[in-house]
Amino acid sequence: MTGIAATGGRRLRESRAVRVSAIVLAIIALTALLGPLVSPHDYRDTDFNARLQAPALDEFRLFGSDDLGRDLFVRTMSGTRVTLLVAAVASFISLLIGVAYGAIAGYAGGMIDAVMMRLVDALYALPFIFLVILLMVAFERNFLLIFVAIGAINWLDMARIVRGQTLALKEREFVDAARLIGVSPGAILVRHITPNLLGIVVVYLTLTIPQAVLVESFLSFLGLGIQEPATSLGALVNNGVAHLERAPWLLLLPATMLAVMLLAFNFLGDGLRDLLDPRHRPR
Amino acid sequence: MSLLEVNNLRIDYGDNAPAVVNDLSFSIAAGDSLGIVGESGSGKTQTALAITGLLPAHARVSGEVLFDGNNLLGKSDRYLNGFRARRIAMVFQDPKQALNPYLRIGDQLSRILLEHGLGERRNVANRALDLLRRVGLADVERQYRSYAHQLSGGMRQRAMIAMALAGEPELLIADEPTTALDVTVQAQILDLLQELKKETGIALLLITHDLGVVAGNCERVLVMQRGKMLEHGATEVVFYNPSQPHTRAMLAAVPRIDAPIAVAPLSETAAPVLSIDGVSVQFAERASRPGSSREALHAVRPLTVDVRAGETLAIVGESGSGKSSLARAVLGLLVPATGTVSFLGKPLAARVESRPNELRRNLQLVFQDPVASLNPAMRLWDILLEPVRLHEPQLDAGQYRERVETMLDRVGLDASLLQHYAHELSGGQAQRVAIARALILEPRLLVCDEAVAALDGTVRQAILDLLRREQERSGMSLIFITHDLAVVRQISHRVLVMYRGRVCELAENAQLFGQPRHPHTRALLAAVPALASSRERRQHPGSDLSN
Repeated sequence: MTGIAATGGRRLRESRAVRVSAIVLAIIALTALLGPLVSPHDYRDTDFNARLQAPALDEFRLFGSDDLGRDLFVRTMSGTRVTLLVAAVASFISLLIGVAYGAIAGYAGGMIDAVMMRLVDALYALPFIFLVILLMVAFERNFLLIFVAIGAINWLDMARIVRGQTLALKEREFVDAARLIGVSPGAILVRHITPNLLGIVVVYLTLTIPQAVLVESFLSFLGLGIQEPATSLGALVNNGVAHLERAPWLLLLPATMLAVMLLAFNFLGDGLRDLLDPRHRPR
Repeated sequence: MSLLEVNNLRIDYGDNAPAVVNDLSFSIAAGDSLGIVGESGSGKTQTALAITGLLPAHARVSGEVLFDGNNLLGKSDRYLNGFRARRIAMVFQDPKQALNPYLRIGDQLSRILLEHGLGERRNVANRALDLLRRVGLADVERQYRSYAHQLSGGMRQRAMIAMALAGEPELLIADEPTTALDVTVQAQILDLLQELKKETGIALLLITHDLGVVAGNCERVLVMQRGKMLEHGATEVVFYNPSQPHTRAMLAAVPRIDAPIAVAPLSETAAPVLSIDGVSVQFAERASRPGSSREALHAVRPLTVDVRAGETLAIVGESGSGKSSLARAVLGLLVPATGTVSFLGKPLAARVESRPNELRRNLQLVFQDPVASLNPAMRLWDILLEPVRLHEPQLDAGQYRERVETMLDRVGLDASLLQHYAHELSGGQAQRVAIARALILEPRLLVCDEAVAALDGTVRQAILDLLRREQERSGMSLIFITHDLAVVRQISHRVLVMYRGRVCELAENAQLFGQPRHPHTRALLAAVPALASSRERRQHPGSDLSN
């Protein structure tokens, strides 16, 4: 495992697509963190005299301002933070639960597998939006709930994919060899199965992250997600659509940010898949 | 003029990579047959692909491939399609991969005929049936309607040949056409190719790693090594009077059923290490029709045999004979339907997980595909360290290193390989690692399941020698499973021949090869391609076994 990570790290610096997308993501994350500190504006401050201003350099209105006179640059950066956080945490949750659950079900097989996967089927059957609304009503509106809700649906897909892959892997000869040597089932899962799952898991993660971003903005649009004045990229895009004719930058700038971020994630995942496959030889 | 003339062919994949084919020239006249022989990586398949224009797009090719005076190199698919099927046809190694699983055999054949304007829609089915009949398939109407997975390996390869013949080509390129097949089926397919050649006057380019396959079937032979031509001449001349050391080594490595037995005879008092007592294996097969009951597939019928200390028991059989199922049952990877396996007189639990660790280390396995049996995510160091660390947790880092390095040295590998992954090794190196992983626990019994089937001649010989040396060193017992009788001639004490889950014959090595009793044993022996005109031998099975 550590061997793979080390090789991955070394090759990471060799692949251009991965390097560029990693740099882009780093810049985005850095501006999202530092941008609001540099700007004189605050994401909550409304300014009735500065509504729907076009982007300009004076007064540091880099992205202009929205219909309530709030500075769009600071809001975009703050929204990026929220979006990145939601995506990262939700993906991490789905990764953790999904891989463990799927690998155990797949390797155990038989009755255990059947019961575990029927539970996944049952959870799939729950209407997700309904579930989220219930969560929001039952507990008070909470930022944390968004993470939980998104993670709770994503791990189901991950578990299914990992289980399928595990089923194929456990028939491989190196697993038989490990059994004969006397490696315990748990150690076979950790040492022999999981490292060989990494490739597909990383690819699937790059699908999960954009999905989490989109679900979050959808929830925000319904008023179930992030609450004003706090914001996310999805919420900003939705707001931008309402003012498309008079102030197109309200849509374009956050949407560009979102698009660049999603593209970078996709490139990164694509490259990582190649890098984490030990059979891959750099060309 | 020759039908096919290859001049100064060179193929490489970039400036830094060595050329896979370098300055290769040869020619084939109409109706002629040429065998290209070489070990894997010698460039023989690349040559075939260059002739048919099937090389990957990033391959760089130079030289000339003249077919009937037309240069085919660097031409568009459109141009080449004027030659493919109608003038040059190709048969691939694995017919299972080469046939479309979603099309019936007859429909695939008809498509080829229609595509090349060789038949009209109303009579194309009859043409296809004729072709299937011509390649010796019985019950052709039924095969016509079958899908590839419903045919046996030999039938599939016959169907492939029928497709290759559809356009009545002048040149047939066969790339390892029998490597994926059982020996008895291999003999039939080679006979078929000879017959077709005689009947139709088709020229044959036969590509193989197996010198025995070339021996009875090609007039001329070309030996390749690392992309270069080593030797080229009449088959008899090259085989009886090879000028190159590599050719001599390849010839020496061909397993012969008349070779001297190389293992020391077993002492009379050797005690049984492993007892297989009435072990049978069944698989539940899915019902063939809805409503019909589930039928059990009997992979192994109840079987009883002992393996004595220091003994090598060879288990020989064709695919589907149950030899691997038996091995997996012995090792506890498969739960037998009946019977018990005892180790040193004590019955073993059916599942390997239920066997105590100190027993488990005594039964180890070496697989057919060495690369698949090594975890692709682990370095060799971790692969070899894992068993030692598990069974001897008390050692310190220096002792671990010493154990692993000594073992690696014993199997003839350099310690510098320890930081590599399995896919970075050659097949022979990977198999050495797999053997090292099994032997590092000093097992009393090592099962080799087709352990040399995927290896080239000279490498195979080296691995067999390694196994024999290790057996002499430690006195362990070996169960050596193979489809090729000739492989076990030198290294086995006793041979067990299986057919469809049953034992045909269990005999001492000398007796089995000298006086085979069971007809299936005789058929297996007769099918082994040998350097001395295999054609004759096939007609008089057993005639040169008077060793």
